[in-house]
Amino acid sequence: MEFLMNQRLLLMLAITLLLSGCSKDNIPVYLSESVDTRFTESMNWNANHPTNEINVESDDYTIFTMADCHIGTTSNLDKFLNNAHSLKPTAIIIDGDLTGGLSEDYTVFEDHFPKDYVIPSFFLVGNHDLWYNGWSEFYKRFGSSSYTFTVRTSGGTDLFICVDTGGNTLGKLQTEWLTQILQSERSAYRRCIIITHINLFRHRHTESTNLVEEELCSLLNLFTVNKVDMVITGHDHNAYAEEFGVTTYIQVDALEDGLSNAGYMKLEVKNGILGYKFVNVNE
Amino acid sequence: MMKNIFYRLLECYSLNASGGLFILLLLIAPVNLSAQPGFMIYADCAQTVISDGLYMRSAYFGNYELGDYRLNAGIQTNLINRNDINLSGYCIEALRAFKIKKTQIELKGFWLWTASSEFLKEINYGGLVSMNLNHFNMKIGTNFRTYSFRRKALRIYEIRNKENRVHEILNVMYSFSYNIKSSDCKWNAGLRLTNMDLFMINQETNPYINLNGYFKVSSRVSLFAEVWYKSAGATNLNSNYFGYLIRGGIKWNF
Repeated sequence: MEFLMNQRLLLMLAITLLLSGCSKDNIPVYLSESVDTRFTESMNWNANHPTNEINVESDDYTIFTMADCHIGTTSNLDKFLNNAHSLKPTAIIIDGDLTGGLSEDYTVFEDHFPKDYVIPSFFLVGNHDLWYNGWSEFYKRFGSSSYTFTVRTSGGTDLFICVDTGGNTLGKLQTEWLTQILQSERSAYRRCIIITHINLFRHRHTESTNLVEEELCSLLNLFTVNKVDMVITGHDHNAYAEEFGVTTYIQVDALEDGLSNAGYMKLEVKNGILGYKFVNVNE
Repeated sequence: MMKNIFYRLLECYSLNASGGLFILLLLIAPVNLSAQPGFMIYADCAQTVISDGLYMRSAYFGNYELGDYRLNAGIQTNLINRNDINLSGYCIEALRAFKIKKTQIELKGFWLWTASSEFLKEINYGGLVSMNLNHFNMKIGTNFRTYSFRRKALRIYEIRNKENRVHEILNVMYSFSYNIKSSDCKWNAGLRLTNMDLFMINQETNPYINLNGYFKVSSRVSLFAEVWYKSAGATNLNSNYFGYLIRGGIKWNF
């Protein structure tokens, strides 16, 4: 009897750990497409859309980055967009987990995002966006999730690389693409900033999943060797910055409604020096 | 004098004081009974989405058993790998076995050094408690991890000391195994869900699955094999294939 109780306890522990990444409102909804499939579709989209080149007259510019608004409700998203409208950053980046993957969530997001928005806007897919076959919804509205854009200033040109980690891995094709860009193009730019949804370092215990160990080490190595200046991520819902080697790793707060720390990040580039500031939308 | 030697060792091997103390406490516990040395060697053949083809590694473990105590030490070498390094890991473990009622329990302290490239290394130390039931084995524990750069990277990229380390504390380690036969049988096969291997510790939210088995050729020698399926993002409900690993090896108790 004691033996059977022990076995049941072990089984329960195993199941609890396996499902530790589920939030309360989740049910297991596994992806129907692989990261390689998404990457291939992103490349198809890129082939028909030229790389976005932003020109700035001075050597200073600001980019707003937000992540994890998880629509639903849109109070904080509206605050973010209003701030962007009044402060006029050079670009805004929506770094994944816009939605919970449902078609109606995407529609709400799109309805709140001004159609005639003049500020260049860049979207990346997050893990939540992929649920319920959410990739097709993301793709038809925003297109690629693996692409580059540049900001040309009077002092130099900075390269931004957006990477799809919605499936918790870059996958084979995207890894090759990223490696090729860094090895062949990085040296032509002043600064290199990588944006992706999944945070690399795990500075606190959360239910959210990071990249597996082998992939994390491989990326840390790649970023160091190619002198990536900054990696901007979301996913963890908690602002954090870590300097590791030549790279600064940033996590932005979630913009989700109801969070006391809800906010976004201002990337401020002045004379080629990268700076950042976390902004709480509740203050 | 002894204290100085101890701290010198810690310094030499980048082992911090708490990790070193944990292992030392297990090592200096009183020992008795007959001694039994052993040896284990295995080779891994693996491929992942980031590995740029197949890679192969081998590992060599020596152990020394004294009654309820055991000391393991092992190294891992790259046989085929895109990274230009030969030694990719070494570890030391101290274990103590005991029983609570009829349940076999094992306590382990470990220290692990691994290098993923010529620039990057990782140090883990921690403790594990293992519980053996007839068909089930459960291990649970914690580890402290430090990512840091190797000397070559510090020199080439002029990395300052304050930018050289990232720490993680109290990570969760676990392993749940089910074997189709009891542990004293001549052969066995089982399924394991775990976030750790001998030279790798994943975050707790990244479990791997492996099928494993062994065959006792004699009372002293056994052959073992494992097949690992590695996925990424399972606990984010976005499961993607990441890779596989096939392992074969031999254990020999002298």
